[in-house]
Amino acid sequence: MTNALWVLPPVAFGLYLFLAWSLLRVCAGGPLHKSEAEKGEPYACGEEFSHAKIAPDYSEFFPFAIFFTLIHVAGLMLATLALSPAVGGLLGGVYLLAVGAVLAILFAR
Amino acid sequence: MKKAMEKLVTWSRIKSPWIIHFNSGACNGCDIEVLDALTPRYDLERFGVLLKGSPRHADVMVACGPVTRQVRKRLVRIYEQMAEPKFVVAVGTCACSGGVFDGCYSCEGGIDKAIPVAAYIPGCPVKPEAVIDGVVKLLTSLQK
Repeated sequence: MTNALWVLPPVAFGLYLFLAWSLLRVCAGGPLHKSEAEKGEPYACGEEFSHAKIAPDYSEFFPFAIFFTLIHVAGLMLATLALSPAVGGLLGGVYLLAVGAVLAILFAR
Repeated sequence: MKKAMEKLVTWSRIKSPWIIHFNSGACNGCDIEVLDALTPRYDLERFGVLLKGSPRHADVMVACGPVTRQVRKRLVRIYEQMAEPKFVVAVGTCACSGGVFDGCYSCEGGIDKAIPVAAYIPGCPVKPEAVIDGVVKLLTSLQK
């Protein structure tokens, strides 16, 4: 039971998040860190990078992106739900709803 | 704390030094030899030496050619963008001292005119064996 707790996705995610944060704190503020004028500047092959705000518009791709993302996950889940009939009914309904939502988004545009 | 941290970082970097290749005005002869050392014929990668595209991922800058006036600022900028501890290896006669370009109106001389250099590998062009030898010597010196 104790072992199972550590490998639970939210717990494992939290642990790794804490580990990454600790490493960042140790390295960024540690004795090896030197602050140089260009250290934090964006890398542009050595060129000076002007801080212009770039905001590309991907809204046209959104319906396709969400359709392909959700339909793949939903397809996988619906195909494998038969392996666990106990939770199949409710979960299957949720994924079918998600499929309906993405189809609506795709065709409503 | 500082000593222990330095030891840990040095140990891990010796096992897998990642490099960035920079041409500061070379004729490309040394660049080709550096690539020769990295690709399967000599295969430095089997020792964990990986060529990276960003200075933020690199521990060692492998610099070829003399420092031209045009490129100096860019060289310093890229060097500053590397994470500590960082090392520079000057590859080729031009990178070591300016070579045939020394005294030229558009050149400032070797790499050490712009940034600190940890190892010099002379040759025109350098042989891949010399590049490997230089890398091994640099890593050995770090170990000490």
